[in-house]
Amino acid sequence: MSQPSLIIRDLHVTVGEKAILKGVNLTVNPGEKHALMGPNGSGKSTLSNALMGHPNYNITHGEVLFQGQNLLEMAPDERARAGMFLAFQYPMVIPGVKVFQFLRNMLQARRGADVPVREFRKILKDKMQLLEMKEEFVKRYLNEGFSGGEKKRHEILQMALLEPSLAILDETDSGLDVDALRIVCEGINAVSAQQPDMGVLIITHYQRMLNYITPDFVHVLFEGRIVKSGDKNLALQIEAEGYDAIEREVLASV
Amino acid sequence: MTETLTTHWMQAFDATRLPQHSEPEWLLKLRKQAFEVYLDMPEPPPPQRGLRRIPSLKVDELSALQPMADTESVEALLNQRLQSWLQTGQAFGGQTIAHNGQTLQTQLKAELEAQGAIFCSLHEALVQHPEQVQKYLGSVYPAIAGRELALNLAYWQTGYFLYLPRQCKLSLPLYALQSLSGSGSLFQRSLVVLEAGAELTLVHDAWSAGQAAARVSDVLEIQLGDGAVLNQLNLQQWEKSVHCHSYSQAQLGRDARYHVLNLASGSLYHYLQTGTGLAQKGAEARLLGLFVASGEQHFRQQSLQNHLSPHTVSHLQYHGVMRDQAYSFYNGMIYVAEAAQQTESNQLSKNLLLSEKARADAIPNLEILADDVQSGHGAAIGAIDRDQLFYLMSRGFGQTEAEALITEGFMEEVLLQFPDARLHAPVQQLLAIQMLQDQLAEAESEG
Repeated sequence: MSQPSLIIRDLHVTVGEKAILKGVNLTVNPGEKHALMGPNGSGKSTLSNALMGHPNYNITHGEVLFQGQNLLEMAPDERARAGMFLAFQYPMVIPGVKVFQFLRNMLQARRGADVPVREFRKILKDKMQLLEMKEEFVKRYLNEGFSGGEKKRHEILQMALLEPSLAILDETDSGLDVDALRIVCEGINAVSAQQPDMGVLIITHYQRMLNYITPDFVHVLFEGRIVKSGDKNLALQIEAEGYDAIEREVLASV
Repeated sequence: MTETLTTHWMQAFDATRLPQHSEPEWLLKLRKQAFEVYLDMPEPPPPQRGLRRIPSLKVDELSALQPMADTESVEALLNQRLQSWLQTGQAFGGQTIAHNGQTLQTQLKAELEAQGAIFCSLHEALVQHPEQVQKYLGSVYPAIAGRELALNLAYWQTGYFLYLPRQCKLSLPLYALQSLSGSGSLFQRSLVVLEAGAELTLVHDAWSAGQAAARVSDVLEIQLGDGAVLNQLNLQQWEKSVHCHSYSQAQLGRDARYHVLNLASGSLYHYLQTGTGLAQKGAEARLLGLFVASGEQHFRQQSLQNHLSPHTVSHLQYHGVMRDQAYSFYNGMIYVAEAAQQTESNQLSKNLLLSEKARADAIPNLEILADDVQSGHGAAIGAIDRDQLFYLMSRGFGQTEAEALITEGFMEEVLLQFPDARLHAPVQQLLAIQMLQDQLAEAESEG
């Protein structure tokens, strides 16, 4: 077996003066799907932003290894080119930048080589079919006027093109209606079927995404720490009993 | 024909500065009157302490541009500029090329000439079409419109005359290149007249062939007849030591359309006034601007969207990209007269500051006397958004590349609103070259 995709050891992160993550430990091996669940304010999005290297998130302690490399020494673009991917909860609108050019330049950056237009069109067409996207989509401007569903599908399309070794999906289910949720989740499954070695970290409040994507592990993040881990049944338990039950359980054990 | 001029007039004009053309009497009179208006208008007060201002053009500081030493090499340079347009696949229906106030080339396709179109130097038009010139010269910008405008009307040395008769629709754009080198003053005034239903795309290009440290006054008067359509690309890429004052204003007939894209990246000082008179029902104007400044460049833009009639529409969107210590100041006015009901107008000024020392200010103004109108204005000034940058970097774009992509998109947003899509690619190319030059210059000054 190859080395783990991601090892997080005792990670502490602050935003401004405020400590958000207070010692997170997590290991994701190639091909594993992990779901990270937790109530609002537990630090889920902080973890995803810190892992991708957002400058507003300060790592005060701990270590993160991505395929054996010290991730924390790398700039966000280096992390991306090394094979890490973050599907944003709120993808940014960038006016005047066409989706087609953006995607092609992105793929070229990842590969470190030119991707001829003809070849790119072919790759793009295949990946768009996976996500039931129309060709006209790429003529639009980056996230400008996209519906919630279009934004998330576009994030997954980027994942499909980049073929990362580790994908972090930050509340990809938020803002999606039932049909859009199904299409996006099926897309994620299709991509991971094509890339069986891709590690996936799904960050979500709800069980509903996990109806489509079966996680190997489920973790509960609470006040900046992973307080409980289990298999998919843990997600079902949360759905049935709420985070309160877990909270009480944790507090009782302290 | 030599005129006897008043002492005043003689003092102002020395022989070397006069255009080497004989001019009709009415024109000399117009020049003289304009000069008197200039003398009568008070000088603007000195700037308040600490405020930067573009020095105004003054008659006692003007001097003649040296004539070309080597005409051939200048023509070769100018042809390079023209070629750079043609290489993008853009053909022109005709062109006028002038250097240091001398018209070197005028050309108009025979079939366009046969339709009654005129495109030549203003001095040639004075000889060939005197009534037309007399009718329109000073009709949009009379001397009383402003001190510098009066000075220009008194002193103009060069410029072109462009006339399209009724329903004359030109499929190919026309190209007017004005160039200069050396030091001195260049006063140009051009007239564009489109009769009812005529349609045209015009590229008004200002570019220096060689080192230049001149003062330029560039005035463009535009008259659009009923239903006429003009798409105008207004380029200012002088050497970064030139001091340039550009004025362009269009009077629109009923249901006429005027779309102008001002693109400026040259000159140390650039004052740009763009106006549009919407005095007839249904007239529509779109004023676009892209301003790219670096080093010590100082740009000022002033705009007027003058709604005098009902159902008129005007949109203004100016985007500036400021680098190094560059400074941009926007001051715009939307005026909606009491009679101008059911009009739509807005203005938006945005500046992207690419360095900590770059600055921009914006003062949008609305004066609305009608009660049934839609109007709005906005301004945004700031550095590149950190979250946008992070988003792109998370996709593998390096910081410089990501910033360039955001900046290009910022300019593209304005460029793509220019209706003649054939000019998008050439302008993109010009902008890309400019951005690269500025980046390199910045890297050099830092290294």
